[in-house]
Amino acid sequence: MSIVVKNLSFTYGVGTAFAKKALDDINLTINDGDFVGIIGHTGSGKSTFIQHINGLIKPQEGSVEVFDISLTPAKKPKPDLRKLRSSVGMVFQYPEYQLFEETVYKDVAFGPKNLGLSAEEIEERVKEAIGLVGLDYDAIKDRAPFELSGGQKRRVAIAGIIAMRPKVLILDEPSAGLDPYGKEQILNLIVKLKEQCSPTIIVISHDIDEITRFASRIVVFNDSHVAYDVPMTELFEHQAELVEMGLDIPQAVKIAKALEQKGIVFDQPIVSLSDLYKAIVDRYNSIHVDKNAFDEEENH
Amino acid sequence: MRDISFGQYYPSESVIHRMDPRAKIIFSLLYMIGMFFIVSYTMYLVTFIFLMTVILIAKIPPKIVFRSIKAIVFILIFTAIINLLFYNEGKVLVEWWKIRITDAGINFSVKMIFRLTMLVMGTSLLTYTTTPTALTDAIESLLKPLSYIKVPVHDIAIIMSIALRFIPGLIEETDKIMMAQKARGASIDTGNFIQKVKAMLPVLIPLFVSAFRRADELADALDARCYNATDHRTKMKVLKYSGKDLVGAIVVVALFVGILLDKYLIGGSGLWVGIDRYIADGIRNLVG
Repeated sequence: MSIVVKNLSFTYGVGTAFAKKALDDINLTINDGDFVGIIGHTGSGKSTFIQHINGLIKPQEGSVEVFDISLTPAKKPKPDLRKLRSSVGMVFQYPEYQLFEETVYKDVAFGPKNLGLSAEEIEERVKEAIGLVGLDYDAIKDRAPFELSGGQKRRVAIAGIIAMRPKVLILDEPSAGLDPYGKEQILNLIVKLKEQCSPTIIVISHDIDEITRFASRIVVFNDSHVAYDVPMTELFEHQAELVEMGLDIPQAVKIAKALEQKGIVFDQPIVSLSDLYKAIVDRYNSIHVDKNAFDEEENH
Repeated sequence: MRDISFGQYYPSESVIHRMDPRAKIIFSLLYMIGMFFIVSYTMYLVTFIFLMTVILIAKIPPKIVFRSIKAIVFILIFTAIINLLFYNEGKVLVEWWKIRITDAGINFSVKMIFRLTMLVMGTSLLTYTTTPTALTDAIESLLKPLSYIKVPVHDIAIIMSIALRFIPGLIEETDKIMMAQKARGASIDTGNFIQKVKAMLPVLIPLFVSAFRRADELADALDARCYNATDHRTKMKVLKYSGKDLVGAIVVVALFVGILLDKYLIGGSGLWVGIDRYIADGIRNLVG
């Protein structure tokens, strides 16, 4: 088990007129190799939650355990934040806004340098990270990050996190503000990163169709609580609750539901569009096979 | 960064909140001037009662108003000690090398603390009860006469309100960028001074970039809506004085006149000074 969160609560602006509870008694365990999608409204606490995992916010109540590092409200012992941040990589919303160096190389090297690695090791990691995000290392390494396109900047920023070789990668709204093509590419990149870089990935998104494409587990935040936490395949059973919380249900689920009302019921769970394609094709084939069998019988 | 208390507005439903912001600015100015004329403990007490009454009417928790003093605790202690040590008039109580502590010095220091504390509390009431937008509107209106001598009053007002509007956004942005760089292992609050300044670069550069980007976007948005800073602009909310401003004016002017009377007429004789001397003697006995 890589991340264990117990009874975590957090309030912004304690003791002021603007005090606002962001997390209320959160319990969650994330296992090695999980591909978690977190979904919820703005202000439901999801961003606050992931900031806890990286030690960016100190817990006010409860505890967060990441690998063998434990974060608690207590002042002592001080957690090893450097080690924590090297094992948990965090890609914030609009990560391109954090670029600051003169060249792409230097910017990607910022993280590894902070880890205190040797120059050779840094170079190797930067090369690997830029390659992983699908950019041409030799063509881009000496360019200024500010002259790149939006999508390229975002890739460079993600490369800056990957170069730290985190065991857990957290992405907050990774496709926000991109055009459909850029979105598609970033989503494919995340799937690739899961295979080649970080075994455990947590993605925050407000677009449920995006999450159904890759996540194997879904956590829904609502009103500072974890509303539910289920394997992706069970999402179909929870659509009424999703609607009640004012969240969208996946398109594939909507279509499957409509077909069900017309009397077409699928045996397998349908969550993503690819599930739906497969189910429809299977159904079509099975009908045709039956028909062929009937025809053959007649011929006899 | 989130806890920064610059011009913080405390939302609540009260007569003070609804008063005309121009009136509140004028009252605050009068109050500030008045503070420098107070000489007696009695008058400090009267002003303090006035202050607490306003806080009560404004429905602001006194705790929050007292918190505004926190920022000046250092200045308070510093001025009090300097005054205590180098005030030369009055009866000498303790003498050591060039330092002389006198009864008048103690008196002066205590009054100085009262004055500064109440000054800050009083003026912070203005920002607690008035939104930044209302404040800039009021300043624009109060500076109007200057436009006759070609001072671009409206431009100044719009620049002020935009600047104020940007502050919360920039604070939030700083917060986010700091977190993002910390997540990349940047150590922002450790090391010596030069290291700290260097460590701020990864925060400052993106912050400037984003400030310029925001300014650009805002300028475009203003342009797209044909914004033009001419004199012919009208306001959605026209400021208008009302009865409560008159009541406020009467109370504040009464306080101001009281302070002046206390200093120039009653000062030096009568019962009030008796009370004052009693307190001063009390302090002297306490020390001596």
